Amino acid sequence: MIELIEKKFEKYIAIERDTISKQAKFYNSKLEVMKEWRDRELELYLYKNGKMLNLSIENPDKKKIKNCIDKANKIMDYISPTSFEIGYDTNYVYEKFFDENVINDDKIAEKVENAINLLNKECAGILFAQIEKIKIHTPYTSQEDRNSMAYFSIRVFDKDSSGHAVSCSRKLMNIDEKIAKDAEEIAMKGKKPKMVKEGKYDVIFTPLAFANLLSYFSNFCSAFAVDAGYSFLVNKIGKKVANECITIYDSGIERDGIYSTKFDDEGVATRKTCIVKDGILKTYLHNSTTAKKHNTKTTANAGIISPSPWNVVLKEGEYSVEEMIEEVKNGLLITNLWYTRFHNYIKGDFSTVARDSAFYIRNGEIESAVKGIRISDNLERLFKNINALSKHKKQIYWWEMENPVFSTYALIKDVFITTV
Amino acid sequence: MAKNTKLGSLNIDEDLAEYALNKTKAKYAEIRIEKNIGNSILFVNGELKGVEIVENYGFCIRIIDNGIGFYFSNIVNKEKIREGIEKAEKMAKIQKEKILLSEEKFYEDRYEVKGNFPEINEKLEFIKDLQIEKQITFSYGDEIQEKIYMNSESARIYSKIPRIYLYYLLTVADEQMHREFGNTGGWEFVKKWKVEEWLEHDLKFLKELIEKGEKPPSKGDVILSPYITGLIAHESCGHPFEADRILGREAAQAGKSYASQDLLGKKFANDCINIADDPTIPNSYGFYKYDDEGVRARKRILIKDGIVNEFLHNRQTAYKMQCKSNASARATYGKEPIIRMANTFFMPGDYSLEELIEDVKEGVYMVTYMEWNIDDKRINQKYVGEEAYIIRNGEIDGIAYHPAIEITTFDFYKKVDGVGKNLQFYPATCGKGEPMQGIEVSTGGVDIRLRDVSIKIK
Repeated sequence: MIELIEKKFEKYIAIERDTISKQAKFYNSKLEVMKEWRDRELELYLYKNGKMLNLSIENPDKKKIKNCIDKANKIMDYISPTSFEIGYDTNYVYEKFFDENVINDDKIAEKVENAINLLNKECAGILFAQIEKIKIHTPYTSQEDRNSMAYFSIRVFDKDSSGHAVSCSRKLMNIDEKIAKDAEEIAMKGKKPKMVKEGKYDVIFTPLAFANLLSYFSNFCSAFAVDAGYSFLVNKIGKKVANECITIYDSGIERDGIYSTKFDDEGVATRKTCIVKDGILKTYLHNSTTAKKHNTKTTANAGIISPSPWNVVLKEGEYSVEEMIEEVKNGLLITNLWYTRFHNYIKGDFSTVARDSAFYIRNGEIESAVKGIRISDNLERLFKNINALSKHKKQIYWWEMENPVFSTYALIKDVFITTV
Repeated sequence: MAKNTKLGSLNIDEDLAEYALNKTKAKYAEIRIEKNIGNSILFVNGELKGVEIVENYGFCIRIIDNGIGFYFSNIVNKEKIREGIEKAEKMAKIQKEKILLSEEKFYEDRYEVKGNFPEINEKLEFIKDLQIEKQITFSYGDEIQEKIYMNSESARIYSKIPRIYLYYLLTVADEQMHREFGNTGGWEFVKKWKVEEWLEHDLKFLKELIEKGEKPPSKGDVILSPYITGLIAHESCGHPFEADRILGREAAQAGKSYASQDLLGKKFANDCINIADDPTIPNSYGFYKYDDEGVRARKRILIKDGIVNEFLHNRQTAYKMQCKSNASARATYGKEPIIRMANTFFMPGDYSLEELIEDVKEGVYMVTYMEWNIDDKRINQKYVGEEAYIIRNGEIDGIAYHPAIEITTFDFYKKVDGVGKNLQFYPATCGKGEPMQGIEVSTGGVDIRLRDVSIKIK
């Protein structure tokens, strides 16, 4: 296959992916559906005469690939030039976990049943697991990798209140069913919620809630988002974008990071990149094409069109959760967020809805459950107002998020809360 | 399952579907074989960023035998189909829950929406001609989706549906506006969209917003255009009326619903409110004739004269609620069918926009939005206007700077006192399911007037 491509194109990337995915879905405290997906795909990026074309072929064989290349040759006569660079760095890191058994049906179902059986309350959720085998061929390297990942997401209901918890790992044995009890505890504490008045509050976000904001922030760091009008971080390299207690990394090499990968979509060795150090934006996330445009080097985050984060890692703080609550005179504890939507990407104006139980904190103590809360603010302002981070850190990934985040609790001052 | 009549697909081996159904001994089985050919193009600030050609060919098997077993593979041959049947049968038996389905009438049918796409150079020229001297991102996509659906209860459906879509995000100074265009059908829709005129309109508006935008009143009457009322119908009526959500199946993802089965037949909104979801509107972005359980589609009246009339059902929820499916089971490529909307809209009333405005002493007219959200029971919602105007003494009197309404669903439906007659539809991609199944829908409606609403500023 590669010989065929090499003869006809100046540059190319060929990525072969073979994945097996499993899912157990449960609701009303009963396992309802088991699913399996088998995907085999070849993704080609072909370049000649200044023009680049991206083709996907499912279940590729020689005939399909040859047809595809012939088609690409014809189409390339018509398309406009575009920039396309391929990087080279073979300093691969081999530390991430791999678990061949992550997709074992019986063990997946058993974990779900165990979690359901721990609870006295209604629950719903999924356990998703995947194995990926991947090969990449570029003019500079041919590499192979294999990845495993699993995440367990459970939501527990106590009449009208709810709590949510997640457990993520590259090994199925590390998926912790007992988080079901954490979700249950949040749900039970959230009963009889009161409305709060609209205004500014100091807000403590749990790792599940803060990971949502960190995921958006890290995606705004993509050079594509910056160039295409989807980020407030334009011209902010070297400038303060968060409180000085904030240091954020993107890491493709976390041992248990569920998006860790040996190489990016150019075959470039992944690494740990400091995006924000002590509140200062250090870099955007780049592939080799965006890096050239921005006169810098790739951060090994290809995505050929759009660089994207792998695992986002927030450097932990020094506080216990109790100490953070003690700091708050008039504030809220928010345990989850959803439906984060931006009114204006280049300003960072947005709102997001508090989901599951939330609590009012008065003079350092949790006073009552609250409801009907929406954060209507600006993402950059919120990151600058972060006041404290916890020592405790957890990997978060679920339905609402683009990428996994190792998040702490975060205390943010003067968050604007709106209500109906 | 022993019929031999061919459905007539040129690209899908329908014998494989027959083979699957003959192979299983499960109480219920269905197979979907799909072939999609798509093309997407991305331009950022006049520069071509990507041209992608995608061809998908795969099959899904769903077995219901106590629980549900679902299997997908994009390796389409007898061996994989046999393997898929065996695995789905095994997975279905892991669960203790006994799933039952409503009884339905099934059909053997083939249907096709006409529509073709030109060579790629014509598509590129079209987008290039739209470029303006501003920061702008264009995302174009087209697809031809061919599908064979068969189940063990005699449904045999072939469909071929082309879809076309365009999106732009326009930035002027530090203000932004986005807009979507989409239909089932072919290239002929590109001319009908009149994208150049919308671009010119949005560009002019954003400049005026920056120069002349003024603070909206903090309270008053609010008129919402079809662009926004369509979204509201989708978010605050369509989603909460999905019966799987009502029964808790989406509780850990898209959430639950304020609705329960008890709400059927109850007064919910003012008499002037009628909301429908209709997959059968020709060339609409959410068009289909049969759902992905083989049930023939029909218009669903969700709210009739302010009374809750019906929910959106698949066969599983219909059985549980003792009614018939109304063909709301839809699946994206490689995913299980779940309850989805198609084209959800406020049905027309009697008022012209002028008549709605002339009766407002002070308020705002919100035409487009950028930001919106709603809680996961579909009660507490927010919409922020991008193109919006101030109304004083029955006339448009200035540009309103980002007015926002934050309101409960129940308040919203009680505050509507006037419903327009100008019905319009807008394409959207609805998110639901895990893994996420972004599916084509349209949100539509008419102008609507709400009385005495708190108006906030973004």
